[in-house]
Amino acid sequence: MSLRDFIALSPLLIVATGALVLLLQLAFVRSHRAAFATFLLTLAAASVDGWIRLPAVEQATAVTTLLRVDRFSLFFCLLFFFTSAVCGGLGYRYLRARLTGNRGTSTTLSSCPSSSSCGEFYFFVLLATLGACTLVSSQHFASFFLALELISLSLYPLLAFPVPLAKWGAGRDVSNREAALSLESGIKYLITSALATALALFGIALMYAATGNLQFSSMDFSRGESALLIGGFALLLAGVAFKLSLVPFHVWTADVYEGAPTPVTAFIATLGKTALLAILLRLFSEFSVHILETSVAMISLLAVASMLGGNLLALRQRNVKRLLAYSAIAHMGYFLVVYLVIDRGIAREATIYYLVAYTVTTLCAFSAVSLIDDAALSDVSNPQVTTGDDRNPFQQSFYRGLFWRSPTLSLCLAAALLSLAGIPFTVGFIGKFYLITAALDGQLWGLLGALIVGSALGLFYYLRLLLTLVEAPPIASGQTAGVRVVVDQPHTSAEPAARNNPLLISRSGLGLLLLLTALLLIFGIYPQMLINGINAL
Amino acid sequence: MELVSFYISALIALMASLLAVISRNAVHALLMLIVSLLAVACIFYQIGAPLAAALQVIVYAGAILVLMVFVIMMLNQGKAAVDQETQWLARENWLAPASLAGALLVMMLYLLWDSASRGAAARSVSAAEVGLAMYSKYLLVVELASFVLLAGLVGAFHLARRHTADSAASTNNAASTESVKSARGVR
Repeated sequence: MSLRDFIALSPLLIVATGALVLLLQLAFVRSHRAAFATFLLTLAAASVDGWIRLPAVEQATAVTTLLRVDRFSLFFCLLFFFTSAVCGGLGYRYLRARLTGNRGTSTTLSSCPSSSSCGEFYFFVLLATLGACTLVSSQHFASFFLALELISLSLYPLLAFPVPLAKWGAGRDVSNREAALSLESGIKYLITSALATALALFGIALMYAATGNLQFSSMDFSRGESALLIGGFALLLAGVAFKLSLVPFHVWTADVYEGAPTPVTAFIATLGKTALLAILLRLFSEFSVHILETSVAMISLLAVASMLGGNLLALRQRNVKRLLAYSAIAHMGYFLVVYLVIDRGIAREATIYYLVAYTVTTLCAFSAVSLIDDAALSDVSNPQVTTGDDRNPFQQSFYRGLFWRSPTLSLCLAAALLSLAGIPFTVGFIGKFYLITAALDGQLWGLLGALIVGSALGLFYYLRLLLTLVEAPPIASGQTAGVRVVVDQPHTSAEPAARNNPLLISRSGLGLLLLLTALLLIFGIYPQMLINGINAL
Repeated sequence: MELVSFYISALIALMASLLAVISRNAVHALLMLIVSLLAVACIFYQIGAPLAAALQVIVYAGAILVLMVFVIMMLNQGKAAVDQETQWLARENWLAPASLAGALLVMMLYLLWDSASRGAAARSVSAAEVGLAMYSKYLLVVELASFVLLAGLVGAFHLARRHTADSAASTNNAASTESVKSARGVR
């Protein structure tokens, strides 16, 4: 390790230092806000560093045999910093809503022991970001594996993140249900992810036995295949497919997405997947997977199954988080199509563009869902409203007529849904356009057919949710009012107020959502900026 | 001769693992697991990695499994756990997965038999060599592993702490399982 290596690794080192500083800080100052400030400061410092170094990096710098820092990895580091900053911001709102949501009851929150332990949330997010950045920079299976483990190990506690339990009032049931579901999702992810890791590790061992080297570049299928290499690759692919929730290995996805705190769902759906997809771009092009019939067959099978399976499973889904989970499965399938034409120039461009599009869109959708949930929670704790499962803020029935109650929020959610469906003027359209161009270029007719059928199916359920948003709100009576916000004008009669009162969305949350929507539209209308940036990588 | 000793220890490892899976008493299963790990340590030694063999004995067989034995003895599951395991081991439960795994095994054996490639010739790797590699070429791996351990440590502490901090959580257990069930119904 020389000074040159340290400079090359500086964004990673900043994040690692920030995580340690945050941990030390939590030992002395257990303040939620201070922890959040340190978190944002770390990410800002790392982003500035990465941003400055991005044009300066002329060629790839190999840091020992393990890591390789080039424009590609730096670009993705920046994307991950952005992702975790957004998820951290959502997490801040999420935890705040649970800490202060029960204001007005006699017990003060400083006496709640759990309220002091929120700072760790940001520590785990930083560690997962560090893992993701290491993953995209790795060129060796040792660092690949450890980075993957670092992401998973920081995600377990995040998925099961102990929500401060409300011990009083109507909020208790909600809190308990949330805690039980999120603990369950953590355990489910722990077990499936451990299995996936074991499979991938065994695959790596077999590939090592075949080639005698752990460098990505030494495992080139074009240099001749052996049964050990293919067997190892199949196991590695199975492990990766577990983490990416591709169809035969997707069973955990919906439960984990539903149970986890919504900011963490956003985090696992974006950073957890894009980091792996980005490194697969490098891995598969080193392997030249498109050469070998066996590997092409395996990847095509996974792709078709995910595109059709994910969309079909989403069709009859009433829970918005589960719907987004199944739609994420389908999107993972779309990505795989491009990996089959990886030798062509357009594949790299298309994958990177679609990764950015997927990240922005998914973040936007989950931000909207998370903010709606927070607003609903602050209302559930209002003792006048009874809680029950029909009040679940993730059910589609809760979204009925949302447009009339909070138009801005609904428009943002609508933009995200249109982008997921791939409607013009959104970033998702350009992304899908790229994918189809790449598939046409490689003449992958079968996969293209599955992609189009899958997208058509997707259009149905995205538009159905969209229609739910603008439907006339249900006639509200005292019993079936759904979760409403505290009535603004106490003197008006109950019914019109329940019809019209908006969801109380925090201003900072709304700002975040508007920023994401703006990005989504800007990249959709002027894609050239981003395309130029990607081409310069 | 070396080949014979390899096959013997591999056979022991396989049988011990199998017995660990099917034995109905948790303590017996753990003891079998220890035997299996020791057999793997023997294999490590035979292929020229004495340090890995020693670590296998000290860390896995020595520390981790003894910890697990302690935990199981403290939980003191006894007869009820044995009955539960007996139920889980009913034929209809294991027949399908076992036959699938058997098919996979056959395929894998065929693949291995089919392949002409062979690993590098056996060579003894000393502890000094391992140390040198760790702290020069693979220094970053050590650092990364320390972060992985840190994440695991803080995560485990953070998740476990809740139960001691909130005594109310245990009293609400019944309510929470109830609400989970009803949440299931919504799906």
